[in-house]
Order: sequence, then C-alpha cells, then structure tokens
Amino acid sequence: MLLKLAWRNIWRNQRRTVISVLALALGVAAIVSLFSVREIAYAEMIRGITKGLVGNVQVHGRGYQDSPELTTVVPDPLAVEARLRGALPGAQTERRVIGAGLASSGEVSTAVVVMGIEAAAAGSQTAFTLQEGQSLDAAPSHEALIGTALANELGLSPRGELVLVGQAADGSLANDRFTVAGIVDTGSSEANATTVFLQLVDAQSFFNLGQGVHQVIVRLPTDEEDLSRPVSLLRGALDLSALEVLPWSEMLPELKTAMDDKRKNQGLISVIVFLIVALGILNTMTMSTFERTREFGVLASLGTRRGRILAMVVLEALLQGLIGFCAGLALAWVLLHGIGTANLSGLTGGGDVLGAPMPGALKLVIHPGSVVSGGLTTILTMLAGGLLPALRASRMKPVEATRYV
Amino acid sequence: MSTILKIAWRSIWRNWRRTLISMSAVGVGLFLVVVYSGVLAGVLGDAKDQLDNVGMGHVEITAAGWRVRRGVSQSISSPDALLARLHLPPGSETGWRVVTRGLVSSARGSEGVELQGVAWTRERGLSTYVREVRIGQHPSADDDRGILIGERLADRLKVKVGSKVRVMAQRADGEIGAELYRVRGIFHSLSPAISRHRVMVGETSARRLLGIGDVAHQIVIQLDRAGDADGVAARLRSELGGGYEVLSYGDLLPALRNIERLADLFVWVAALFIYGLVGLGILNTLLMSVLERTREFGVLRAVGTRPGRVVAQVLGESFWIATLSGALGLAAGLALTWYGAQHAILTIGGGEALEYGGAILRSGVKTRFSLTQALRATSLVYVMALVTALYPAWKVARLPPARALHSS
Amino acid sequence: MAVIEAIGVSKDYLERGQVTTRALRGVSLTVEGGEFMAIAGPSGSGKTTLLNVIGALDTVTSGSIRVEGREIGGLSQRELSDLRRDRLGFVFQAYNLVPVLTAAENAEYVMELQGRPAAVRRRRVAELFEAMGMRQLLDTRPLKMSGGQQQRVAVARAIASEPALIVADEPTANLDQATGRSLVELMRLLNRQRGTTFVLSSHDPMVLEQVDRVVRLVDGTVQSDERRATPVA
Repeated sequence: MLLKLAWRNIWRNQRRTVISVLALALGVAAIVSLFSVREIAYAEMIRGITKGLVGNVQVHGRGYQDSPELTTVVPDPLAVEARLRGALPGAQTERRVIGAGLASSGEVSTAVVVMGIEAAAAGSQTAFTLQEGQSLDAAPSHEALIGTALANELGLSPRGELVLVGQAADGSLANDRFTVAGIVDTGSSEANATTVFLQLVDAQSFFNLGQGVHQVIVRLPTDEEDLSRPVSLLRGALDLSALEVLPWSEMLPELKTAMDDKRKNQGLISVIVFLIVALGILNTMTMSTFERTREFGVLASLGTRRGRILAMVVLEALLQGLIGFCAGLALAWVLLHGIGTANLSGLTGGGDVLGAPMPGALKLVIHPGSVVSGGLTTILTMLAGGLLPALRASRMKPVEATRYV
Repeated sequence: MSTILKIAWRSIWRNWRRTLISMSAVGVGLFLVVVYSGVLAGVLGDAKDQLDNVGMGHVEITAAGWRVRRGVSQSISSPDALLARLHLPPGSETGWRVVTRGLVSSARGSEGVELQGVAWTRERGLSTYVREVRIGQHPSADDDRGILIGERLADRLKVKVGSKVRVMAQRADGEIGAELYRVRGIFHSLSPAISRHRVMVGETSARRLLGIGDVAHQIVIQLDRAGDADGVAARLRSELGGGYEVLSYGDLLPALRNIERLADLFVWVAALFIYGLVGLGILNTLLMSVLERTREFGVLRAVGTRPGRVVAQVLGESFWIATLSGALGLAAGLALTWYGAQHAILTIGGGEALEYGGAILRSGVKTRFSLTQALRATSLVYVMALVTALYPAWKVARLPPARALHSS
Repeated sequence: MAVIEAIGVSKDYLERGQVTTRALRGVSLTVEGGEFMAIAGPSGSGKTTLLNVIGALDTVTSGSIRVEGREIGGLSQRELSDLRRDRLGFVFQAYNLVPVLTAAENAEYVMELQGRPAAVRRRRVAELFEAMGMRQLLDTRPLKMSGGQQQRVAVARAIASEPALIVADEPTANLDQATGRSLVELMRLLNRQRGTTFVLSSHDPMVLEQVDRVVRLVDGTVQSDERRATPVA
C-alpha cells in the first residue's frame, strides 16, 4: 500500500515530477559519464605502464629509486628472479641494465638511455612493438634496437651503425660500436626519442657490470591498480637489506598522486549536483506536501502513525530518485556510446603525462564504479531534499483534516 | 516599470522560505561557475609565465631541419646580426643559444643532457630558473669553465657548487669533445625534466667545446602578448624565407595550445550544466508560485491588465531572485577566488608541478581572477532566470480571465 | 458502558497567536452504545470542536474525555493514533478520500493499517459496496465521483474497520437536499443493522429530523439535550 500510494502521489503533478526527475537525470548523467571516461583512461594508462617499460613491480638494489647510480645493482639477480617466481606463481620476470650514454651516427649525436634487456624476453616483449627490421638475437652480437624518434634523429635504419660512448661502473670510458637490428615503438614519445636497447650481456660488458643488473621487472597477469598484496608477498620473499621492491605507483608517485587528485576533484561534481538538485527537491516536496495538508490530516485522523506518513513521503522522494537515476544512466549510455571511441592523445599533442603515455583510442562504456557513485549521490540528494518535508507532513495534526473546509 | 519591480519584489517574499531556497540554488550555481573559471584560469597560468619557466620563446627560430636531427652544423650564422634585422613588436625580449646533446659525468655517475651555451644577461630575461638561481650563481660573462646545472642533476651526480664535472659532446668535425667544468650554481626548475637534463655554460665556452664559430642553434623571442605569437611567427617566416624554421609556442607545445582553447569550452560546458540544473530547480518553484496565484492574476486581467504586463510581473519576480542571489553568489565566488589567488585551494598532482605534454602546470592551483569571466557568468544567470520564467509567465498570462477566476 | 463520556470539557484556541477564544465551556455529554445522535448549533457554536475532542482529533484544555471507559487525556500521540485506528471512524464534510486511491482502496485503508490480510479486506469491502448499492464504484477514483458518492465511500471506509463510534462532521453540508437525505438514511440504516454508534454534527434541519437525539450547543455550552420519544425507523 505504501509503495502504491507513494508512486501514485508523485504523478499527481506530472510536470513537477518530470522537471525534478530531469534535473537529477542530468546530474547523474554528468557524474556517470565523467567518472567512466576518467577511469577508462586511467585503466588504459596503467595498462600502458605495466605492459610497457615499467611493469607492475620492480626490484632494485637498495636505494636505487632515490639515487639511480650505475653501481647500485641487484646482487645475484638470477636467484632473486627464482625467489620472485616462487613467491608469485604466474609472474614473469626480466632483468634489465640501465645506463646513460652518448649515441652518434655520422655527424649527429645525442644523449641516450642505454637499456640492456633479456633477448629471450625480447621476443615476447610487450614493452615495445617492432616497426622495422628484426628483434634482438638471443646470443650477444653487438646489436641494438632504437626508438622511432631516435632513429629519425640519427638518420639510422636497420643494419646502420651506432657508436655508443659512456662512463662505465669503474669510472673508465665506455666506447663501442653496435649494429641497428630494428626500430621499435615503445608507446612513450619520450622513450622513443632517447632509448637504445642492447642485449643484456652486451650492456653488462659495456658498462663493466659483471653479472649485476639494475632492475628486475615483474609482470603480473593482473590489471589491478592496487598491488599491495603482491608487493608484500614479494617483500616477504626477499632480503630487504640489500633490495627494494616497488610497485609502479611508487616509481611514478607524481602520476599516482595526480590520478588520485583528479578523482577527488571530480568528486566535487557529485557534491555540486547534490547541492543544487537537493535544493530543488526540497522546494518541490515542500510544496507538494503543503498542498496535501488536509489529506495528511485525514490520514492521521484515520489512525495512520507518524512513522508511516514519514515513510510514505520519503518513499516519494526515493522513487523520483530511482526514475531520475535510471534516466541519467540511460542518458550517459547514449552519450558514451554515441561518442563511441575517444582519442585523448590529442589533448597532449601526442606527448606524455608525468612519464606515462597518454592513452590513444578508448572504448567508452559505463564503468561500474560510476553507477555506484551516481547511485549514492542520488540517494543522498533525495534524502536531503525530502526529509524535511516528510517530517513536516508526519507531524501534521489530525485536526488539520477539519480545517479550512 | 518601477511599479512592476516593486510589486515583484513584494511578491517574492510572500513565501519567503520558498524564495530563500530558490535563491540558494541560484547563488550556489553562480558561485560555482565563478570559482571554476578562476581555477581553470589559474591552471593555465599566464602563457608568458609558462614559457619563462622553461625558457621557451613565444616564437623560436632554428635552422631548417635542426629540430629533428640536432646536428651541430645545422646552425644559424651570425645570430646577433640576424636578430638585429628582424622587425619585432615593442617589448619583445630576445636571445640566442648554442644547443646540443651531450653527456655530463661526475665521479659518481653520468647523465644525458641538453647543453646550452648562452649569453647570461639575455638568458636571465628569458628564463626564471636562471634569473633566480637558488644555490650559488650562474657563471659570469667571462667565466669559461663555469657551468650551471639543475637540482635533480646535481642530486643524481652527487655534486655541489665547486664540484668538477666532465661534459662530452660531438664536435662539428665529428670528433667527441670533452671538457672539464666547475659547477658555479645549481638552479631549481618547476619542470623535473629541465632540472635533470639541462646544463648551461657561457656561449664562448660552448663554441669552443663544439668547435664552431659565430653560430647559434636557437633564436628565442618572448613577446609582450602571447596572442601575437602566431602572427609574429608567420611574418618572420616570410621575412626569412627558406633555410629557417620559425615556430610559435603553440606549434612547440600543442598541449598548451589545446588547453588554452579548451579552457574556454570547459567553462561554457560547466556553466551550461550548472545553470541547467539550477534552472530546472527554480522552474518548478516559479511554476508553483505562479499557478497558485492564477485566480489573483485572473482578477488583474479582469480589471483590464494586459497579458504583457502580467508576463512582465512574473519576469520581474525572477529578476529579483536572480539579482539577490546573483549578488551573493558573485560575492562569495569572488571572495573564494581572491583567497585562492593567495593560497592554493586545489591540487592537481603530487610534486611541485605537472608535466603535461611538455607544458608545465603548477600542482598547487592558485585561482586567477578575471572580471570579464565573472561578469559573463553573472549575465548568464539573468539569462537563465528570465528564460526559465517565460514558461510559467506564458502559462498564466494566456488564460482567459474567466478561466483564471474560477481556479481554486 | 458508555461509548463516550465527556465531563466538564473546555477548549481554548489561540486565534492568530494573540486572542484566546473559548470554544467549549464546561461541556458534559454521555453517548451510549448504539446511539444515532447529532450535535446541533449555529456556526461558531463549537460543535466541530466538540466533535474533534470526542474523536480524539484534538486535546481538551480542561475536563476529561473517556472513550469506552478509557481516559484519553494522558495518552501519547501514538496511543491516540491507534485509538482512532481501532475504535473510531470519521466522515468529514469534504476531502475525505485520498485522490490517488480507488474507492475500494480508500475503503480498505484503515483495515490495512490494522494489519488485516488482503483477502479479508477485499471481501469485506466488496460486500459493503454491494450492500450499499455501490458495486460499480469499486475501481473508480474520487475525481470521477459525485459529492454524494464520495461521502458514501467515506462512510463505507468508516464502517469497514468496525469501530465502536463513527463521528461525522457536517457530512451533508456540501450536498444537495436529496443526496444529503439519502446519505443520512444510509448512516441510520447501518446504525440499526450493526449497532454502530453515530455522532453527527449539523445545522441542517433535514439531518436533525432523522436522528434520535439532538444536543444543541450555543457559544460553547449545552443549551438542550433532547431525545425523540419514538425513534425513527
């Protein structure tokens, strides 16, 4: 009966209800759309990071993140890898060497980041895609892969020759020639312009590192943003006096903070919708209950308890909320599917944001979190707007039934 | 007109609770729009401010093809003479630089850098981080061995003022040149990339290191008005002809140009959205308040009031609601914007600044106040209020008086 | 046991927060079970007020009211509410029915509050409507009914919950003579058939002709209390 009454009551004044519902729908559509686009973009950015050069988690020699010196290495990397894979079955690991150098070809030279990577992994490499030429051989053969922009700058193509100069771990001058095996796209415009990939063993001998490596990359089969569980498992499995274990969020802290800040800032939109729509609902429900003063009086005379009248009016607010919420979802769906695929890379002109590549084509769908956020906002808004009028209605005295006749 | 406004004023207070709630909604809406536009303006910052932070010019001239290959020999001859020839708007600051990629090493490590050879006095005018060196100072004009490096690089290489570093770069003759320098100063830049990868020496010293003569790689022009950039670039392009590449900052930082263009759009969309919500909210209120008085309006019509005047009456009530709440919302919005201009009220990222496609956005956003934006937002409130009032006004004004009189 | 006992009841009103009006002055009244009576008097005589306090719709300033022997003066809002639900029925002058409910749903309302199962409610209402010759109105909404029909549905609602007493405040005031007459006849029939006590208020002589007992109020006091010698059939 209560539900039936509440439902029929909201349609007594169709126009009024439609307008209220429309306002809520607009607000919900905005919240859901923005939330969804943002989270889809973030998920894509994180995928780009974790499948790219950074990986999900990295293990370094202790202190490397704060002070990445050539001499801070992971001792006994193969054992570390074995222990990592033991702690997290299903994880893939790679060893990597990183150093700085000067690369030149002919008269052009530029500063580069030299990365020694495992050639076996290079075959199933997700960190970059091969554009021209071939990937690195398994056996060390003085070959290199260079980024697209770098190739452009140095005027190099496959089978061209590259000279690398740098400072080795013992302070001596490192100097060697390499043949370009292929040209790759790392997904990050910065990395494409500055990275030279060598075979791990070649890099280790170039920089005089012996068996040492700087990074052990751990790739997990998960897309989760929160990696605290795997990280604590890994930290438990390793000797933390010599090593450090970092998830991507600690390696790119500015990016993580920026993402969290943006989430908070967009939360403001929910607050805005809440404020404005709640005020509107307060007004309309005050009016609609005032109009029914006599009726509430009659109901009270008949023996309806206060709580029941309160519930009825609150239900009226919530039902309108339900309709508005569904309408808002539908609106958001139409909007997102109407746009279909969004390409955000134009926003940065193709550049990176805080070290992460801006995602390219995003397939726009309604993110489940957005539905929750929109639903919560709806409930809070309708309660805020409807509670006061409901209380007033429930307090109406039976005597009202006989007044103003 | 004044009678209409007087009656309208008294009418809105008949149901003061309802009026106050409506006014709150409108006020909140305006407040939000004003603050939002202030925040966006703050994020964008002054374009000149931006460029100063990275030492970029509104217009930059390089030899054709240099940007891609950065060859030492792809240079501009006699940069001083060239600059003298150019017709530039008054108030422009100019400079030129020798630029190349190199490697800087200390006992503790090495890092790839962009080496710039500059004329220090001019450079101070172009870059904030050179003007305000935090630790030590930039080398003097005749200091041949001095080098200025960034905080992050100093940290990486574990050097301080007085330390020695080795700089290696490719010379014009193809050999690798290497020289030792002493750190004279360490600068702080909002851009982490610059702080880590840019080093500066005197131009004479750079030329000697690279084995080049009276040439430069970059000519930098900072204008008084950012808006002139594209125009000036186009003019210089035709003046100089082939062999040179002339780019405006919009070409160099498409991200910045995009945000500038989009910022206005964002404020419009936000205003439409917020005012849409508010408008729907007060539409109901206005409808009810007007329809309740159908009989009253019927009496007015019966005694000879024209429909137009009844409409004006309703619009007048909406006008007052807009004015009162507009004033409050505007005041509150301006107050917050003024406060926000001194203290950052919003953060958009960790660290000091955010690197966005090459442009620098400060993380702690300080709002910027713009009177035009605030006035625009306020006038939109009036538009919204009056448009919203049209429907209820029309509804009640077009009823024949007999019908209106009989409504209960 | 008397259904209603009012002893020395006085009721004051605060008119516009300034002036106190004494609507009832020391009124005493006893209503026995099964009575069919009216409270009469000109407008302003306090008859509506008296009906309100008898029906536990309002509280008295002084004096006491007992419903079925139970003193209602100290009862809480909730207790009064339940009392009205279970022991009393109401027919107002107008706006009795909830506009968004059908006649049947309106009539079922109090039974639903009482927690009676749906099947029982539906059956009772169907029987009532049938007996009152209103079967065709079961699924009609109040807006589509005449004033007289609305009042009859209100009576059906009042009877359906099986109260001890039905209070009707000027039930015929908005109806024409013929309709009003048939309404009062209906109420009297229900009173004869089921023994439900009825207390009406009216200044309409047509109504007063049809009741067994008339209590006249003037300026808040009982002026006369007359029983008919031979009850109307």
